[in-house]
Amino acid sequence: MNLDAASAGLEGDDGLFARIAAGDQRALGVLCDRHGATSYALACAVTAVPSVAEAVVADSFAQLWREAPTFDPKRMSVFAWLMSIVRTRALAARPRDVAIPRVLSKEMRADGRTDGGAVHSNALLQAVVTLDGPQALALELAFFRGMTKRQIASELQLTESMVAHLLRRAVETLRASVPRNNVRPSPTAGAGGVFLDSPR
Amino acid sequence: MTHDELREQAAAYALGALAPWERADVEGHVEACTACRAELDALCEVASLLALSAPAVDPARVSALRSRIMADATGGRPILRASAGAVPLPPKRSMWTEATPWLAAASLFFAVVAGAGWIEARSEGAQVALALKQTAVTLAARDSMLSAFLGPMVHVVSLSEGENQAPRARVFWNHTRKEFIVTAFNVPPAPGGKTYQLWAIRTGKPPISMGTFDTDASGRALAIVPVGDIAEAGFIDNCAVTLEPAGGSPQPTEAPRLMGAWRHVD
Repeated sequence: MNLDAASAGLEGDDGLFARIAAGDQRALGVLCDRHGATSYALACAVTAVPSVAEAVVADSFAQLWREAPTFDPKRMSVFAWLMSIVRTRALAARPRDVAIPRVLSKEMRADGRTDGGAVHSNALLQAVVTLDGPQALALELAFFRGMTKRQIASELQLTESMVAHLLRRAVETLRASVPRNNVRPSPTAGAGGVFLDSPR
Repeated sequence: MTHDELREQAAAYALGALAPWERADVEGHVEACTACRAELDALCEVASLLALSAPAVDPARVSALRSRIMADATGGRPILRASAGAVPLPPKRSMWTEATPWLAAASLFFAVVAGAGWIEARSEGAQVALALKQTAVTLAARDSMLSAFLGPMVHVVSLSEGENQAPRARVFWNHTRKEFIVTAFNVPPAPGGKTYQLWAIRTGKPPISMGTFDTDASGRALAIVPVGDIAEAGFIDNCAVTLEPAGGSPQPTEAPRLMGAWRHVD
């Protein structure tokens, strides 16, 4: 890894994003290295079809690249924005009549990731396994299946206020699992996940 | 909506689980409540971390995907970097040899026909659904561009290397929509560290920058950009293109490479 790549690995998302907004393609590559695997994993979890997920991720990064000059990083982190784009696109592209496997379950284990999201990922997984069944299911239906509170209530035979309460409890549990005032995945020098580890 | 009501709905909002009217209620509240805004933003950040709980994927596929991401993303960048509000466009197609309204209309027609034929040839299911969505987005963008060409108050300037020379770029100005539509063809890509810059020329006054642009390997460029501050410039006689250092110059540093006079499109 050269010096540029090493310093890019250390650079936070915000600094990286400023360069992306200015049209720096290498910065986009670093962001891709850092969050590409998570984006693809999210798209796969939502669509359950790898080819669809790949198109979703490619389109999401294209949208991020196009809209970068107008994005305000003070409103949300780059990571949250990117995941929001990927999730929205994945839900829209999700094929009908395809079985979507469960994501959040007691059987979840740390997947050995070593990228910038590793610390958060492991802490998050530990928190997820502490959620009770209804909380985890409500969380899954909302985030990975794109169901509204009303749809979840119908699915789980609960009232909407009960679903809102379940979701609140679940999110608060997750929130407590990540470092306070620092919920953004941080860059890790030389890691950046799968991409930087791959020769190119 | 009270603070307590917002607190109860905030997690559902962050997870995208509210109906549109409920979202509007939440957003209406945080518009005027800084504390709730901060709380909502924090929950949205937490919700985004759920992506990290998705099962790990095949590293080989991720690695292959990187090339596609870079090609797709950077291939669709708006050409006028100097204008922050530039409207993103779909990837360019080869039929845009000259960006006249007639060819724009033809482009739209062929896009529909080709899209329909392609869709018929594909198997049913996910790929068809995705293709339909992508085609719809592409057509919506084309439609938006077409309407900008066909408005009742449109001026155009054809830019060439000199009188009686074939045009190599055109700029359409839609008064109603306050937009420039910039097209270039047969303009070689700018050398490293350089960019093309578009200028509004006014008699007896300094030129005004309309933005910078770059062409692709085939010498083409296409974008819609807002008129912005230049609308205050008053009457513009001509338009010119120069080659400038990357990022553009406050004033032209060379004689125009391309130039033309504005005229009305009837």
